[in-house]
Amino acid sequence: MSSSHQRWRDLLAAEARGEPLCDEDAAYLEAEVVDSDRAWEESLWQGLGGLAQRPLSGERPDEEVEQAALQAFWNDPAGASSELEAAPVRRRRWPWVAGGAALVAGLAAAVSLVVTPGPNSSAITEPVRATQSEPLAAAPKGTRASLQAPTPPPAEQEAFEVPPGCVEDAGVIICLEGDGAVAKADDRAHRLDRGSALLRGSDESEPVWLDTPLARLRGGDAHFRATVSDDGRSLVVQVYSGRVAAWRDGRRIGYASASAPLYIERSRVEAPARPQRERQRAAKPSAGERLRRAQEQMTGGDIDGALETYRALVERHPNSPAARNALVTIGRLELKRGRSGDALEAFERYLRGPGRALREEAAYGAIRALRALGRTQAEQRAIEAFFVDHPQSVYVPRLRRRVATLTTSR
Amino acid sequence: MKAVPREFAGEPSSPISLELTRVRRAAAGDASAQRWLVHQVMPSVRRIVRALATHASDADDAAQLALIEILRSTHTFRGRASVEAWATRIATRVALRHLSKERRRRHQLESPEDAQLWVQPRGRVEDDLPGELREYLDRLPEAQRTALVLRHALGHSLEEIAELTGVSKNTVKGRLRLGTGLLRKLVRRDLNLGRGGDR
Repeated sequence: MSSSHQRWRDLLAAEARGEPLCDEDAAYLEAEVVDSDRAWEESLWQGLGGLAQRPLSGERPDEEVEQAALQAFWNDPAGASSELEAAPVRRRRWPWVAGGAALVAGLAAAVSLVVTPGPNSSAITEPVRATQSEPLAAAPKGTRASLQAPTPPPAEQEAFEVPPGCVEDAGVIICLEGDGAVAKADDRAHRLDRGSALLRGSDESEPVWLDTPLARLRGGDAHFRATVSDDGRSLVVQVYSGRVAAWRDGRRIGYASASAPLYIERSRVEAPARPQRERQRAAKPSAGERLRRAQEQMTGGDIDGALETYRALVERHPNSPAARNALVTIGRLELKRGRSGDALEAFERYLRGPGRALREEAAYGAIRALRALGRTQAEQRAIEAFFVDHPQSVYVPRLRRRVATLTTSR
Repeated sequence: MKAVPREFAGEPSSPISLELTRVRRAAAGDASAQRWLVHQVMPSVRRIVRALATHASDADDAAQLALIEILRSTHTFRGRASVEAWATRIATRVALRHLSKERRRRHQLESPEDAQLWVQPRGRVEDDLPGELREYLDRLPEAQRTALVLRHALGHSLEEIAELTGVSKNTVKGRLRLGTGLLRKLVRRDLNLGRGGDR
C-alpha cells in the first residue's frame, strides 16, 4: 500500500470521526480525484471512521442505562458480587413504556430554576466589554451564593436537606454563602449583584434568566455559574453544559459555552476608537479565513463562488501554503467545469512552486487536463515523468492502461 | 421540608479542579456527584460501545458495565487529564472484555438459525459498499477487528491500542495490516460477485 493511500485512508476516517483537519490535509482530501475504483474504499473508511457516531438499532435511551448503572452500583458499590457481571440488566420487553417512564422521571428531576425577565433589567446603561478568555482568576474569593434546583427526584428527597440560610421564592431556593454575596428574588425577577450564582435550566422553552449589573444572562437548558466581582465591574460566566447568551440593551453581546467562558467587564472610560490600520487589518480576511470560506462554499454547493474565493486566496496570499494547495483545487474544479486550459495552468503553477504535499495529485491532474485538451504527446511525456516521480502512486495502474491505449492507437 | 441537592455548593471555579472535586465527592459516596459523573462520561462510553459492538443489547450491557466500573474506580482519578479521557480508558477495557465474552458465549450456544435473529435491520450509509459495514467487521478475526475499530473509529494511536489490548506495537501494526487486507478482500469479493454481504 502506498503511503499516499494510507494517508488518504486515515484522513477519511478522521474526517468521519469529526476531527478537525489542518488546512493542508483538508486541501489534500479536496484535491483527491474521485475515481470509481476507489469510491467503495472511500465509503469503507468513512463508514469506519463514523462507526462510533451511528446508533445501533434498538439502543436503550442514555438515561435508562445511566440509571440502571447507578442502581447496580448503589446496590453493590464494591463489586463484591459478580452477579451483575454474569447477568447484566437486560432490556425490557416494552421499551417504549420504559422510555416513557424514564422521560417522566427525567422531566421531574430536571425541573429546576426558571426565572422570567424582570421589569428592571434595562437599567444597565454603562458600556461593557465582553471577551472569551481565561477569566477564572478574576472571580472574587470568599463570596458565594447559589441558586439551587428545588425539586430533586422523589426517591432521593431524604438524601437532601435545606441548607441553613437559604430562602425560597417563586419555586427557586437561593442559598447565600460568604459575607459579600447578594442575590435576591423579587416576584419572578432574579438578580445577582455580587458573588456567585449557580443556575441550571431545564429546557430551551423555559430559559433560565439572571440579571446582573453588567448583562442579562439567558441559558436554555444550560448549567452555569455566574460570578459578579465585589465592585460590580466584572462578570464571569462559566458553563458546565449547554450555552449561555449575554444580553444588554436588547442586544446580544456574547456567548459562553463549556469550552469558552465569558468575561464581561465594565469599561472605566469609553473605549478609544481603534486605529485605522487595525480596522483595515480586521476587515481583510486572512488566508486561512479565505480557505475556510471557500470550503464552506464548496460544501454548500456553490462551486463558482468557491472558485472565485480560491482565486482571491491565490491572488492575495500567493506565498501561503493554503494558496499553494488551493491551486490544485482550482485545477480540479476547472477540469470539472470543462475549462481544461485553465486547469492545466493551475496544476503547472503548483508544480513549478516549492510545495510537495500535493505534487502527485497536481501531476495527475495535469495529465488529465492534457488528455482533455487532446495533447497526446505531451500527455505521454507527462505520464512517463509521473512513473519516475511517483512509482508507488495509486494512479500508476490506470496510467499504464492509458499508455497502452495510446500506444495501440498510434 | 423542601429538599435541595447540595451537589455543587462550595466548588472551585477551575474546570480541572472542579472535575477532581466532583469525582472525589463521587468516590466518597456523594450520590449527586455520582449522577453527575455518569452523565458526564455517558457520551464517551456510548461512542466506544457503539464502535465495538455489533448488537444493541450488547452495546447497552457493555455501556452499563463500563459506567459501573467507572464509578468503582473513582478513587484512581488524579485530575491530570479530563474526566472523559480517564473514563475512556476504563470503558474501552471493560467493553472489550465484555463483548469478547458475549461473542464467545453466543458462538457456543446459538445455532445458525438463532444467530439469524441477531441480524440488525439494515441502516446503510455506505452507498458504495455492497453490504453493511458492521457485518463485514463481524466477519474479521476478533483481534483484527478490535485493532481496526480502535484505530479508525475511535482514533487511538498505535501505542494506545497496544496498551489497551495488551500486545506489542508491532503486533498491533500487523493486526491492522491483516485486518485492512481482509476487509478489502471481503468487500471486493462481494463486488465481483455482484451481491451484498453474506446475509
